[in-house]
Amino acid sequence: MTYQEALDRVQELRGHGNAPFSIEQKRLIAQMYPEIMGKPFRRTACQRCYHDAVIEMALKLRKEQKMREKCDYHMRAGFIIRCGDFDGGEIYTNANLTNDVARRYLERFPNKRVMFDRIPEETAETPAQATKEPSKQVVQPSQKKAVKGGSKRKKRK
Amino acid sequence: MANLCESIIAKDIAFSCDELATKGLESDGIIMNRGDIDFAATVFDTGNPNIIKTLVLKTGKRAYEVVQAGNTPFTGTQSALEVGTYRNTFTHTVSFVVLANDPETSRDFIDGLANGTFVAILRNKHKGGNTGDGEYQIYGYSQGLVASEITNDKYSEDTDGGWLVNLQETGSRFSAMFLFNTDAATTEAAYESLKETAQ
Repeated sequence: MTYQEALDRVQELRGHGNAPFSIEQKRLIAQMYPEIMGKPFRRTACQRCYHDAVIEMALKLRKEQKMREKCDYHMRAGFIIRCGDFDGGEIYTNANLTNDVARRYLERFPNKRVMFDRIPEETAETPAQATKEPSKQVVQPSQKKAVKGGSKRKKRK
Repeated sequence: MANLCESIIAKDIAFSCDELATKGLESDGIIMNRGDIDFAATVFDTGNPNIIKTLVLKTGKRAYEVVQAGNTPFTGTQSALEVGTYRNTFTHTVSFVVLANDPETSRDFIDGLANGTFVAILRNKHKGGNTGDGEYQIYGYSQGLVASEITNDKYSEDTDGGWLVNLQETGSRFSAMFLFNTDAATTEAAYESLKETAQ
């Protein structure tokens, strides 16, 4: 969904006023909400939850002036990013986390990977691990023989 | 004295005109299965063991929202001293009503409450002065909240035919525990994030 499409739909829903939404409209709100807000829509027993969701989406779209960037990272419940020496102490939750922020944060604090429950596969290794691994993995056949020979010589001794 | 844990008071008892206590709780809180908490990842405040700075759940787990109606939400929630033979502790009680009674509520909430162990975070109306460190009070972190009463009175004026639930934690050595990290905005973000799970 593009920004303009989302804006048009939200404006249309806002025009509905306080009248109850139809089942189709409720389904649309529940579908749009996670895409715009970055968090799941929770239906409560309160009659106003759909109207509140529409207001939230309208405010978010007006403030951001763009659709939320899809993020491939996800932090575990209860964990947020807030370090005085990372992005000036900006608070990041799953709602405003971006791939760029998550990547930079994990490069800087690789030990915090355990606090994420979703990390894209291509970055499954930390930069530190990535620099260590190639020396183990990339071994030429000629080098292998040399290594084997070396070990045999040691055994003979 | 050797081998005795320090048990002293270390503060004048007075009240500040700027930070007068306010009674009551906000109308929403969260409850989570105690087994879903990653205790190894919990970070306590270095200066105050009654403050938890970071409370993280295990992968894929989340806390569940409890929203109450009326002017006195969570009526009956309290903490009280429990006198023991060698050591006194605290009993914490969390009370709430579930204004529903249907198969889904019974299966997903009431049946689970009957035999599980839980941790709840309720929001005090008294925020704790300028810092806001007294808003999010944690119940059940020490020993766990377990059900002491779950009643469905069909003609109850209080519950409108729904469920009245009392959860109790006994033997806690903490009079109160709070969730607080840096400032009110950071703590609110951490509290809200407990309700999320991977989409």
